[in-house]
Amino acid sequence: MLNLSLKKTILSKPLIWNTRVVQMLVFAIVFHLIYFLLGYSAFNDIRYLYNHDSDFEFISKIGLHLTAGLVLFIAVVIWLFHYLRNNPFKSFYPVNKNYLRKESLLVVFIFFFTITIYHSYEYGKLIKSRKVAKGIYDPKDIDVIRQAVCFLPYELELFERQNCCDSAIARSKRYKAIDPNYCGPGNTYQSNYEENDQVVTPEYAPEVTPLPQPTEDNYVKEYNYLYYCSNIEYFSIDNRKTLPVHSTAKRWLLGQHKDSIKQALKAYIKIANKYKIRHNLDADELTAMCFANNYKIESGLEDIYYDQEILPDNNSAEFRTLNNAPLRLLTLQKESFFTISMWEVYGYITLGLSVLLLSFRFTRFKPWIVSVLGSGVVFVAFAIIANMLIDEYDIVYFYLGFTVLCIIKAIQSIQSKKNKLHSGVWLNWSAFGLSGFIPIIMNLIYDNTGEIRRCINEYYVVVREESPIHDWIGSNWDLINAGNFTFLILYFFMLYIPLAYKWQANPSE
Amino acid sequence: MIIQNNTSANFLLFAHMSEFREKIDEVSNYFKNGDYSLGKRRMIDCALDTAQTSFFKRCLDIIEQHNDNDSAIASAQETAQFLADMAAISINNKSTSDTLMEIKNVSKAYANGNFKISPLSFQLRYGEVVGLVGENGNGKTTLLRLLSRDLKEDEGTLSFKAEKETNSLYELRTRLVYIPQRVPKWYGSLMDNLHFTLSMYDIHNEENVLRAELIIARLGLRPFKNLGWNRISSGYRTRFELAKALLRQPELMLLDEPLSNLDIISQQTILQDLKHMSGSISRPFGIVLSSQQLYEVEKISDMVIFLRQGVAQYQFKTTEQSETTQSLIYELETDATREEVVNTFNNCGLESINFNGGVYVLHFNNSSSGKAIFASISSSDLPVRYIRNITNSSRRFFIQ
Repeated sequence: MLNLSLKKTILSKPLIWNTRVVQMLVFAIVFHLIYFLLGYSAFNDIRYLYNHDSDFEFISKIGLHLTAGLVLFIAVVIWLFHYLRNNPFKSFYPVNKNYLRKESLLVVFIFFFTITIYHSYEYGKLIKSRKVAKGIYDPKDIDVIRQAVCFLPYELELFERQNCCDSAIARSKRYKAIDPNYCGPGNTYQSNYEENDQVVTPEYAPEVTPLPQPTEDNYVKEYNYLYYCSNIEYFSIDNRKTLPVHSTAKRWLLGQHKDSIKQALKAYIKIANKYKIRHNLDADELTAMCFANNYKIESGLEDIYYDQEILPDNNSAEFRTLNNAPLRLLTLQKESFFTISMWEVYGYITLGLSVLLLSFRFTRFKPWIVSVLGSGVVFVAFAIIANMLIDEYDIVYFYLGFTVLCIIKAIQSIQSKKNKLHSGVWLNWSAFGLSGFIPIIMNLIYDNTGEIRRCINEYYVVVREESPIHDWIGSNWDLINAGNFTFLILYFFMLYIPLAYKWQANPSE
Repeated sequence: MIIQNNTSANFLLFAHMSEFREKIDEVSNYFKNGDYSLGKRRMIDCALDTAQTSFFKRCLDIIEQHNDNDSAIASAQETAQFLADMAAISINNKSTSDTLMEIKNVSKAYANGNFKISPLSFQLRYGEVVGLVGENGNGKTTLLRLLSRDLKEDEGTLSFKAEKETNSLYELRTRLVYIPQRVPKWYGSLMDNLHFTLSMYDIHNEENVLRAELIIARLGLRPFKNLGWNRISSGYRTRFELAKALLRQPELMLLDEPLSNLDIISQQTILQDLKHMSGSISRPFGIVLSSQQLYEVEKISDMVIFLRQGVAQYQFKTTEQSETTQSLIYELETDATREEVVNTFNNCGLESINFNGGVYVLHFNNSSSGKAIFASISSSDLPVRYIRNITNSSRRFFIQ
């Protein structure tokens, strides 16, 4: 079948035959399928979704990476061996610029389709994850978790006095909530331990009933349920940064509402069971602990990890894992084949390899090797210059200027049929340099359009206003990278190929 | 006017038809005279000239039916019918009187200053062959690279007829096929490479297969068609390169030492074949070739350029030799002593004698004649191993 298609393409579609795109397509489809199936069968346990570790996978991830890498390497080497056999362009066969454009597209396609093989493994896992997680996530779960953790001191520092709602930190947060420009004492970035350790007066804790003044009996120096003032933030699910969960908790604690606390803990245990989170929690014991010795916490609960086979004590659980579980399942629902991360990395690898290969294909070995090795030399030179420069941005300007110079010199020297080696190197450098052109410019603009604030007399003063473009760049990096890919492809098609076409025909000196 | 134009067109058509018929008659004569191999090769050339796949197919059928047995091909009835059918058709012709390439005072010096090609001028028409001769390192390859536009000339002009029909230098270079002395390695089978070449020239499917089969039959490559680079000799690699070049239908073929890898019989055959194919009626082309095989090159060349230290010391058209020469020069190989040789030719105008690489080179004055020289040999019983008139041959420039 494959031989027949090869025979047909050699007789009628020389570009298809010469680029070996059919063979590579068959190879890629087979391996995409294999890796998809491997991904799909990689795990059965839902706990894998919260604990990314090979313990839950049937296949060794390192082995899989190595195998994928090796398979890709061998496939690309074999492909290059065949693809580089015939170069009709260098042999002066009647090819036009469109032929070169089509060839470039096929090379990009082959690279992209080949290097994303591992992606199919991830996609297989995604499909399996959705199947395993189907019907588990409920938006109400997060409210239950938020409320219950007020009575689960697995993160003991959150039950410390210095983190309570009446602390300097809390005060600073409140001040900041009222006035974002506040940068006085208690500011997260300016705090020191001594200041934070002071219990501030109740007037700074407007949201809760003031704590009873510490006495020998009811005051525990380090930890207390009543100090809990934290909140689990689920930004992508629920952007409410502060919830009145701790005020409710304090109300229950101070009002001795044991049943309410017990119900909250039971709901938590139910969710833990639903998410298959390991625990040995006992709602009664935990409720009793809340009221023992005036809310005193002895040593906290143990947060266990997925790799701990035996649960150590009563009332230990995979607390943090459960905190992340709803968010993880929700993310899985939203994720699709095209939104799995790494696309931009694949994009840059594809374009980088394509530019490297096509620059070799469309020029000749000597200018290509000089431009590749020369790039290294230029990079080192840039690093040395950057070291000497005071302003870090100067090196960026230098890089941008150098890339523009390469383009100008390439056009100029090829049009005037000047030294073929030099013009070939300028041409290749222009393509290499443009690989990161737009993101670098955007980063430069981003850095120079952001707001600058200085802390003056306990309040931030805006020294420079933020430009709308700063905000746009900050939230559109995917678009910028996509724009960069488009720009690079357009440059390659509209300028590089016509110049290479001329360059190839130009006689040597 | 219209009548005149029609008459003129009809005349041209008739002229080319008769030229093509002459070629077919020539094929018939080769077969009649027992020159089967030559007849078969010329028959393939005629079939290729028709540019019709039906004729390609019939030609190939005849060759395959008789398993390359040349005498069987010649005696087959369908061969005669095939030739007769070809003779009846009209051929798309291309004039061979046009100048394909004109070079005026072209010179080239390398940057390190070690070597320079001094100003050189000549013209080449379609169907003509120019031979480049000279010792190693005297600029033959440089000149070929200049002609293929691979090197840039310092001064002078190179103009090609094809320039008017092309939009870019690249397009022009697609019509100038340069085969370097060291044939570049190819991969895959010989046949795949030929198919790919044809496909790149927009010749697809059946025509592609037929043309490739015909050209390998033409150059005697059929037994090797499925072999790769490592499994065929260097001589056949050269033939393959020629096959590939011919399929590209070049305007100008530039061959750097094409004979160096060929055996002595193949050298003459390939050169004669190239000369013949360059005069194709439908697609004539020019050839510039360099070689050390002086006599073989001279035989087929319309012009020979002798290069010494980059200087074209001598250039002439072989057809004009007799008009440009004055005194006779002979090359003689003999066991006789120098004195005996001098004594033999003293009476027929011998001016000087040089011993050059195992042979004597004899220079005679203007009044001497070949008849007198051979009479002297026969009367003196001089033991002659070999004698050759090199008066009009560039061989004399190799003499120290």
